[in-house]
Amino acid sequence: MRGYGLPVGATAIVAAVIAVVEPGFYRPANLHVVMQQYAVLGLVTIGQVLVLLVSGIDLSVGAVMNAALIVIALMNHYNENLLLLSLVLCILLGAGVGVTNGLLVSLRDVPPFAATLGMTACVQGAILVYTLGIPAGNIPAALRPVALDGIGIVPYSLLICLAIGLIVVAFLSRGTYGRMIYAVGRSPEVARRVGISTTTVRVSAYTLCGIFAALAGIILSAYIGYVDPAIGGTYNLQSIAAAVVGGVSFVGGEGKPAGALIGALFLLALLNVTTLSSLNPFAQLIVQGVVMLVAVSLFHLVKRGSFA
Amino acid sequence: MSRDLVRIWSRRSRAGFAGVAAVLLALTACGGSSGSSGGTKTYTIAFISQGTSNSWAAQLDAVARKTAKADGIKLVYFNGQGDATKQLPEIDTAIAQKPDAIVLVPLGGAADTGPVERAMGQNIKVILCDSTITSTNYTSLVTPHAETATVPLAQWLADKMNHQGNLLYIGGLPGNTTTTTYDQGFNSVMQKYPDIHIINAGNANYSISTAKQLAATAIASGRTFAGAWGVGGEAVTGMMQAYVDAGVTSIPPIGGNSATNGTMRLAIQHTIQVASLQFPPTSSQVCIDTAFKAAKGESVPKSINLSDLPQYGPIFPPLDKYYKSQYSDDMYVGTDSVLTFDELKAINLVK
Amino acid sequence: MKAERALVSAVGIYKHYGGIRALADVSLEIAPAEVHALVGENGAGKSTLVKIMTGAEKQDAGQVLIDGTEAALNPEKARELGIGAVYQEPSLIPALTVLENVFLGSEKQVGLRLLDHRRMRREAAAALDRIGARIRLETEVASLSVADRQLVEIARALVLQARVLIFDEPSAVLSGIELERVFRVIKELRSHGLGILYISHRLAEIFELADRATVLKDGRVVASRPVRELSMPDLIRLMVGRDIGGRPPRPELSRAKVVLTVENLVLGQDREPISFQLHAGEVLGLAGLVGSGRTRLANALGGIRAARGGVVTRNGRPVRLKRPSDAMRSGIAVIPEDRKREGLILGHSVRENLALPSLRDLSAMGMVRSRTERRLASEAVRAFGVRPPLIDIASGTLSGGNQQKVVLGKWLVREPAAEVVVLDEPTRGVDVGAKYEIYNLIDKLVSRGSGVLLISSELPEIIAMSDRVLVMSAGNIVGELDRSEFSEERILRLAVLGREQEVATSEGGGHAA
Repeated sequence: MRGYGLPVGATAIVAAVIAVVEPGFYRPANLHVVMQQYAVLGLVTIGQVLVLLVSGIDLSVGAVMNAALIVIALMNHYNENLLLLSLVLCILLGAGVGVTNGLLVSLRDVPPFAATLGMTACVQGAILVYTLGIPAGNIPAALRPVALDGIGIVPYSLLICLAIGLIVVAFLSRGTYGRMIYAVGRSPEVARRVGISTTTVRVSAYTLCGIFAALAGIILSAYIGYVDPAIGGTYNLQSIAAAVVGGVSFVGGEGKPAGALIGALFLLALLNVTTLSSLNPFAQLIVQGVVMLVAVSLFHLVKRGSFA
Repeated sequence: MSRDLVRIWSRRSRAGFAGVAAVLLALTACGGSSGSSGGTKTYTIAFISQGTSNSWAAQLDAVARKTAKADGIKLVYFNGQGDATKQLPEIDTAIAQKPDAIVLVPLGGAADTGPVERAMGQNIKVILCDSTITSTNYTSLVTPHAETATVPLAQWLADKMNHQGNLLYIGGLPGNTTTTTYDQGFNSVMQKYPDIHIINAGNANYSISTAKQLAATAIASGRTFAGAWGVGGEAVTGMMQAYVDAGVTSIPPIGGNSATNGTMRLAIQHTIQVASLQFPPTSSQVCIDTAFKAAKGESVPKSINLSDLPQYGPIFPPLDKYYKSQYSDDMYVGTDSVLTFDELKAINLVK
Repeated sequence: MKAERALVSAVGIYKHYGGIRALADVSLEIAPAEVHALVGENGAGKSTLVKIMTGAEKQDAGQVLIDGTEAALNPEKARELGIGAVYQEPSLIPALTVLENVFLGSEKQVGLRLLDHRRMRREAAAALDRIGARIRLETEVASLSVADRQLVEIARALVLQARVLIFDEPSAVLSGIELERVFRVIKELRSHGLGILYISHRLAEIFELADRATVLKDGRVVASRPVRELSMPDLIRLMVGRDIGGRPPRPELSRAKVVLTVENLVLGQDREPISFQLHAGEVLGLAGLVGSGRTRLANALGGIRAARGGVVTRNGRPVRLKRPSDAMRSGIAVIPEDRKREGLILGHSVRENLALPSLRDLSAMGMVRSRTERRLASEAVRAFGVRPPLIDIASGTLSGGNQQKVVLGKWLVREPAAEVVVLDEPTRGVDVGAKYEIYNLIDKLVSRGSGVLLISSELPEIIAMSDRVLVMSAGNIVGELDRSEFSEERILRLAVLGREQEVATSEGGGHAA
């Protein structure tokens, strides 16, 4: 397919640069760690892309991830046989938050930023009311292999992430659903006039985003293995950054999920390499910031150039 | 994200300076009888909390309530909702109620200075709990002295490393005063040992999840570490979890601050050598007691150093006596010295 | 009069966008005290030339000379050198006042920081005065009419000492009286020695206004002559490169089969219910002023904005028209007025736009059948004469006329074919060539048995194309005319005055309320 040349080429260059700057990146043990972490960011980013494509933004993915961890920890606290049920509940919770976000945005015309931030407050508030600020329980050992074990150095969690990623990429690039998403994102009025229910499409995007965030929360819980109620803290911004680096724009209907998945890989590789470098953390932050800015501006320069 | 920031900002007390230890004074007030000044006047103290936004704050609040009850004080509770901007108006509301004293757990730092000075101007005693403001116009400041408290832990780690080898370091929150003071204590020890190479894996921002991811990467880099140091209990916990999950059999000794029951559990379960600071959220007890005394007109020291209290001391292996299997991971080591089993159960800290 | 040296001249300009040639060897001079018209079909390269002359784009080859000296332009440089432009959609900031807009980017300062308000007010007032515009300097631009905004934009150019003003199709968005004002201003500016480049679709204006006309076709200059040496048919022939000719009279209609019956349709509060029938093979013209309810009726039929009451019957069966999909299912296609907002997704490829209404038919198991889609798109592009006939280019890169063909195409390639086609201003902003292609298309639609409801503000178009005309005024149908009764005057009188008044005047002596 045309249009993938840029991200693929950029990834190849970045891969080569890493080989020179920090060859330790390619140690199997490190790749294993990157894959474990990628499974989480990748999932959240896929969901975020769906929402960005319908001109939205989801700032509640972190809260959904926190909630997933709390649900798992609490249910396991009372009865260790409830693991499967707790996972189902997590997914339902993510879907519920997504549906609410979508309805607020499309029926009540709440700006996505406000709606999803509001949902974050609601979800965090509910967690606090329920736990009184003190979560109990622990991450069941039976859940941990999802993130820790796998085939060779490839964790199961990455396989889950990639499977979902492939399905989304396929449906967005070739599916009817993708056509609807892009149509609603670029011109809701035109979409409506050809019989596409913009509400349904928007709500579906937010719902999938919520579900993927819940899945990511489950996988991250399995990976961390400790009850950290702020587990999803950095994922709102990281998922948005990954999508933007991957060429998805805030205006809606612009960008591809495959690009965003590569963006997520780029972001994680950057974080990983700076960690490996054992630079002073301030220098690490500066390097990360500069590389991100350069990446985004290069992307947009190249993109504009190829448009003419 | 901002929630974390605020939580950390406030929870890590900003260390006071040149504290005069008046701890014994403060302690004797613990459990003292009410209305000791002759009449039956009930003193009103406004407690402006961080709000139940995290387990630290929840434990701090529980201790405050209990202390007030024991002292026979009327405690008016103001919820900071874990947010500096939401806490600010609460301070003014508290002043309007004309309490005898205010106990403030500042979230705002500089921003809180104005309201505090207003209260002082109206002759309301203000006790700052765990964290300071930019002016010195307050009645008393109750904080631990992290810089000095950190030294024995760092020394323990250096000794365990035989003063050589790689040291895996995970930082706190850049720019945060507490992080800076912890680092000062840590660095003052480490600079004596040129053969210890500090490998900086980045800042975990007091997040277990971030700490674990950073540590996992560092471990996967193939370097071997003779020791590890984390700023904050979260970093220590995250590092332990990363080592365990990476399947490393000989986990190096780990030093860091703020011991929770969960830190103890992991260390014992996986036989990891961990040195840590007790940092129980019981400062509110000292704060309320101090406020009570100030309200009664007794003189109170301008600065109270919590680090001199026994329940704030460093802890070294063996850790068995610090771990309480009946309590959940979130209990800070030492909280059970002020709260009973039932009281801990009421705030979700019993398994 | 050509003795004077040109203020601005373009010499041998070439410009390509990707592989598409936009301009080739284009030369043009704007002399002082001259109105120079630039005409050509959509896509002929007029906008590109304007962009190059105002520094918004760089030419691939050739020069722009200002006062005979070559100038490397960028937008600021162009402004400094005295080239101002007035666009169709004025580039003013609505939230700022007239004064602030006039001086935007060229604020006068006193000392280091403060703005010299007194001087700015004086100069702005003088500029507005010069063009006879009575607009208060404190007025927010948002509250001004489009014509007034254009005047503010002219004032802005004058404040900057512009010597050349470029007008990019101002008439497309202006009504008669407003347009006259702008014309007066242009003539006035010419008499003061300014050079004017005037771009328009409306050929009549050119004969009224311009001294000279340059015709662009496919990015080349095909003629540049004094207007008095040109006639209207000459100009059209130069533009399109072929004779358009008159349209053959429409064949008599049998009106045997009714494809749409509208009974007591209520479009809004205080509106009389509307009833009419549309026959197979019929073009029913719908005339009326802007705001008379024509588009509201189209939207009701398309399920875009449901009517408040009434019954619509298709082939003897009442249909529900609550949402667009209802209309699509019922064989009603509504081609909207605003093609950029309602008709096309400009960022989508031509293929994706064409496929959008047919998505369900093109898909199997949630996937779009790519080959079927490409076939559908290629057929549509061919059938509707979209140029260039490429299906994978972004729709936004097409000219207005070709965009309109894509909009028509996307609705008319659906299977089964819509029996009722509502066209809302199908030729607005479309060049002459595309216009005639659209007329041919309407002929094709009726010959295959569809009924067409043609909404148009251009009375000659309504009269030439329709078998019957309904006239709307203030939300009501005020008249129905058969072919024998058609006249521009009659339709206009109904549209402006409404039914009773029309009757009254025709009885003699009545006057409009």
